[in-house]
Amino acid sequence: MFKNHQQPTSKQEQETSHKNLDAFLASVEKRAYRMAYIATSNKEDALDIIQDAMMTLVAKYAQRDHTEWPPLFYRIVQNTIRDWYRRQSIRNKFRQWFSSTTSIDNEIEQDWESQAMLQAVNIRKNPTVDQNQQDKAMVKLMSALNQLPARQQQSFLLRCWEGFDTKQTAAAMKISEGSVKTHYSRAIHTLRNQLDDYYGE
Amino acid sequence: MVNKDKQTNSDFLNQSKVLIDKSIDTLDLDIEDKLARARRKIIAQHYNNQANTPEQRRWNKLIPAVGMALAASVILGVFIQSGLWQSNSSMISDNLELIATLDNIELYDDLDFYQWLAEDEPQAG
Repeated sequence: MFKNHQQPTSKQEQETSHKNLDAFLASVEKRAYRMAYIATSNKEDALDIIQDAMMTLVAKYAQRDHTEWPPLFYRIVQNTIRDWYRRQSIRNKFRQWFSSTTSIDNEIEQDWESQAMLQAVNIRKNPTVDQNQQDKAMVKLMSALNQLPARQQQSFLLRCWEGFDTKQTAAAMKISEGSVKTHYSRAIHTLRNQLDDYYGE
Repeated sequence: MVNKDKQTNSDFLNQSKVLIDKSIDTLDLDIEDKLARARRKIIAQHYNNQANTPEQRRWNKLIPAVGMALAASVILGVFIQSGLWQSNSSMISDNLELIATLDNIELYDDLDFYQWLAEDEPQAG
């Protein structure tokens, strides 16, 4: 699926490669951050995930053809998110023995982000009714996505938002295409139940 | 019925995509800045490394190890040359005797006991 590529030899080729890589990462960093934030509900963790993903892509795959960068990058992001979930699972087990405040901290963080979103949209001057409705729908969607089980959440983001097909999504998430279809379908079902009232015609 | 459901699913998905795209606009400037700085740093480091030839990269890895080995040799050489080793060796040998007699410390601790024992025992001979 992924092809190897010759290392750029001349200085000019290296500079071109440098610019292409910079442009690619600039085009995806905010989207990838949003994806990581929806998964983790934590700004710093989401930032760490994306920075790790960038480092891995640049260190290991900079020489690949630029068409391979998007699926490679998102596979790395998914791997890093998965690792984050594993570490959280272990940490939470320990924390539960000593404290019950962890889930509260995450709720506060998530609530902050919703508040920040609401503030950002409230700054809009003279919003129309449609814009108000859309802003509320956006905040509600973010919240609903965050509450989905991890695989449904990431399947939805990769399929619906990033436009990956089933095969690409399966490759990124390292699951079968059948699993992608199942998770995606369930995600749509859950989200529609929560959001149909918020979406305008 | 199925087609209608597919269409409304399609509308739902299109609208969701628009909304998630919109959410990018609400990203904190601080976050945007951190992402951009991380990206520039990572790429710059990678291409600085790449600018070196394979031989230079090999040397870059060896230099710290070679440096430490050299420094250790110099210190050892100075230590031996200056005779510190010899004066220290006599110091060590003196202390060795003291160290060897450490066992006797127990005797000093129990001196009162042994003194009492000696007084209590009948005189030999």
